[in-house]
Amino acid sequence: MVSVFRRPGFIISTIIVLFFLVLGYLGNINAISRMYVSNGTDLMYYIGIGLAMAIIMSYAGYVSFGQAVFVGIGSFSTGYVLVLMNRSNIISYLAKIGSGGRISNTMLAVYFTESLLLAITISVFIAVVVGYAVLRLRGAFFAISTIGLDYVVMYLVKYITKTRSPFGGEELLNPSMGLTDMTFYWMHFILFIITIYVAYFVKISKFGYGLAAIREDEDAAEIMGVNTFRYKIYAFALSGILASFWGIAEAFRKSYSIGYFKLDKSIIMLVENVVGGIGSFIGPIIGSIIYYLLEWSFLTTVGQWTLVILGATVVVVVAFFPEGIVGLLKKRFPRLRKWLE
Amino acid sequence: MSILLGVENLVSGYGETEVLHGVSLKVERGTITTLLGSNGVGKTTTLWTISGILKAWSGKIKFNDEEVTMLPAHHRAEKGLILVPEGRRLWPQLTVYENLYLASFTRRAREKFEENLEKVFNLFPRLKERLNQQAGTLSGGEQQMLAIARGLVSNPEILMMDEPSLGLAPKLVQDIGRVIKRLRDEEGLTVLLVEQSVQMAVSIGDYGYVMENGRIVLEGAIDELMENSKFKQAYLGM
Amino acid sequence: MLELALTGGAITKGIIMGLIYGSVIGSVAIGLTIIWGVMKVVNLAHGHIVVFAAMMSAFLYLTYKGALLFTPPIAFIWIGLLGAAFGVFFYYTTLHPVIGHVDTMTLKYEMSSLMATFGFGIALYGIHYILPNYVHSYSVNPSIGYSIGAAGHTYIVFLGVVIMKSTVLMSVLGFLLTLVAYWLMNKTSMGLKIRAVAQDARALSLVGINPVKVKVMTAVLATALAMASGVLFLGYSTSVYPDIESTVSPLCFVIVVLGGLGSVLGTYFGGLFLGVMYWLTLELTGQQSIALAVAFAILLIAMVLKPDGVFSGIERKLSFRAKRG
Repeated sequence: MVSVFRRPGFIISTIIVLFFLVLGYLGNINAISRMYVSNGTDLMYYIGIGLAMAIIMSYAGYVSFGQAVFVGIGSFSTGYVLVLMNRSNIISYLAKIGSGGRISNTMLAVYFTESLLLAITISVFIAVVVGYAVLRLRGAFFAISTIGLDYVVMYLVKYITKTRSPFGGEELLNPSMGLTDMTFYWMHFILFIITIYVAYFVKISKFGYGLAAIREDEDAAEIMGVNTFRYKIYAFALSGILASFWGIAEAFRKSYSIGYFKLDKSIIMLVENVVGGIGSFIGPIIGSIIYYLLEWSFLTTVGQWTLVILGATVVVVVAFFPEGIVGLLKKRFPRLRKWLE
Repeated sequence: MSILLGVENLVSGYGETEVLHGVSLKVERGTITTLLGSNGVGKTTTLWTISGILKAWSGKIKFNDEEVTMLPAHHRAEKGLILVPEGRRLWPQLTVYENLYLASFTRRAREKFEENLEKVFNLFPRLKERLNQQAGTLSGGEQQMLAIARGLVSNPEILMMDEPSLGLAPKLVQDIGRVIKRLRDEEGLTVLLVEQSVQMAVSIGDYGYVMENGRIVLEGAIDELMENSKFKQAYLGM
Repeated sequence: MLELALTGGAITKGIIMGLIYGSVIGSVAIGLTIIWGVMKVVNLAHGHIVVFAAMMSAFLYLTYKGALLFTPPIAFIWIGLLGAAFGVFFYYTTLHPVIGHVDTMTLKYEMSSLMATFGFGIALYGIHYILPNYVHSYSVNPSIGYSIGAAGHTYIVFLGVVIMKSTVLMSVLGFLLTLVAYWLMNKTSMGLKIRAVAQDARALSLVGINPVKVKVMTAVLATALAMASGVLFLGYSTSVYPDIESTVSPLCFVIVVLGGLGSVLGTYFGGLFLGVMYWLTLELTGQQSIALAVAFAILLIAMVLKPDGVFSGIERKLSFRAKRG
């Protein structure tokens, strides 16, 4: 048995983490490098949500449209902590230090932790209660039921923000905390480390093998003694917790908005997994990077045509590489096989 | 007698695996020709390639003096080259009547639909009783009857049957055999029969081919085959 | 907190408005029940196609200042026919590479079809943003669709409820569209072939029917219905913008599940039910977001308790008797 720390998946995750670490340290030099920092923040977000989805979709084989609900819950938690709780101390603190100041790291850490705890609590609650009912469904039915889950929560939250938000709308604008792009980068980085290693260790754990068994043949898995129902609920909840992290990260950066609940968030996560290849840990990472690069390069080159070209690309990928990039690489370069776990 | 179906040096398979290594056979009009052999020797592959579900890699398929090697499956069916596939392949959620009606959409079948339907109900009175029942809810034997009935409603020139007795009780196997014989005697139907129940096949067949490993290894009129001790030992255990 | 306005008037209004809305949204879902329920293509582009048709017809209506040809009662017919041509395009660009040569739709192919139609959907959504003279949303005259033989008021009062005549007209047309779809699917040989192709495409080729042609027909029918109903949706809601898709599409999925996959009449009844529940909640709470939350909660409950669809029995009963004749 190869030590966990020498397995390809672990090495690749560590390389990616180190890459973002270096990018973070080199980032704060000049305007151009700061642009890359902003790109790096986005990229971590895309990989993060891709891996969150991977636990339920790539590992367990359950297609969910509803993982955006957890992203939404994460971002709403942040909005709740920063705005709805009426933190007068943020405002008075900033008033004291005058313009150009920023809140202390301690306060930021407190708010960050509060958001995390709130998001985790709500996510686990929803995942277990709703999962208990809908995880009995399979295939497209499960997928559609998660649309229902997403929209129920979205419209309830919409009602809360509409009645309680000081802005009276669907958004909760963060108070100015004097934070820079670099702060957001490191907040993303913390969550990124958690997400990528959790996703990896789940994959190689007994739990991960149980999920793989469910993906390949759920009935057989059950006969072989895997408690499939419990495993699925765990996977659903864990996927939800990780997804909510990324809602938190983005809400600190860009404020809460109803957009985090929208179906297209789930679908981005889904596309990342499919493009990368279902069943693996590396697949969703590759898929996320490719998705991000495509979207980013289309936005900067073709502007308004982005959505049209992105859509066409998805159609082509599904038609010609149904096994995803990982499947393609495995077929073309059998030697790479052990690196694509 | 004239040759209705002629297959020459047929090579075919799945993906990159070659299964048939040059199969040649002939089916005379108005006879029952049987294709025998143990499991996995390429009998089903032969029928699938003749019916056009699988593409022939090389070789020729002539039907009614016309080459059909490159035609898609549904064009061959339009010409009267009909396959009753293994495992029946009915539409389980459609009713019995709908299953039959769908087979009557080709030009050759449409004109004779009523007539063929009458004929089919004569052969299988049970189907008439279950006309409005979903095909998936029929018993195994009834499903097999429906599969044959569907083939007949297509108004075949030749009916290829793949393991029609698979999974049926011995009594039903005899019934099916009797029906096939009746079709030849009364309607002059040409049949190419693949059958694992060799007893039944030799009792109704006129001519037989024996396959092994994707090749025809033995052929002859059934009477001649029955004289062949090797054949008798291998397939009839006598 | 929420305050419930539990009055008889609110309930009457909720039911009447709900039936009208339900008839329109039910007809919008029928294209989906055919392509998803029958051909097992999880068509995520359905909502986009509906909205695309609505945007197009609103644009034409406004450009030609309400010319008769572009009013919904006329436009829904020819835009529906245009939709048939669009369906061919949709099939060959998106569905054919994925399911063209598939014999039986398994989960794997369902998921591929879902991805492919998702791609097609966002491409179609993107087209709104590259068209010249792009506007973010269109609002048409509320009497749209009522310009034929209209006289007097544009609204009627029924049981104390004020109803726009145009919305009534749209719901009637929605019902007619449903009947046409029902007839095509259950009484014609085309419908029979369509129902057979999803169960076993190869068996179709064995009886001399080209399965690819049938798949094209399915996509064509579903797309034509989607585009025709999109025009009705415009006539009902009087305003339309690309993002409305994010409401239309999930609602369609809810309705199809309620109605039972592949059941045309069941889907229509699912639409009526959902419409009534939505409007009742809206009338009782005065909150649109609560009303939508209820709509999707119904979906969750229905899926867990009755995954075969709540209203699917209606069609089974009807069609069984019909086939006898």
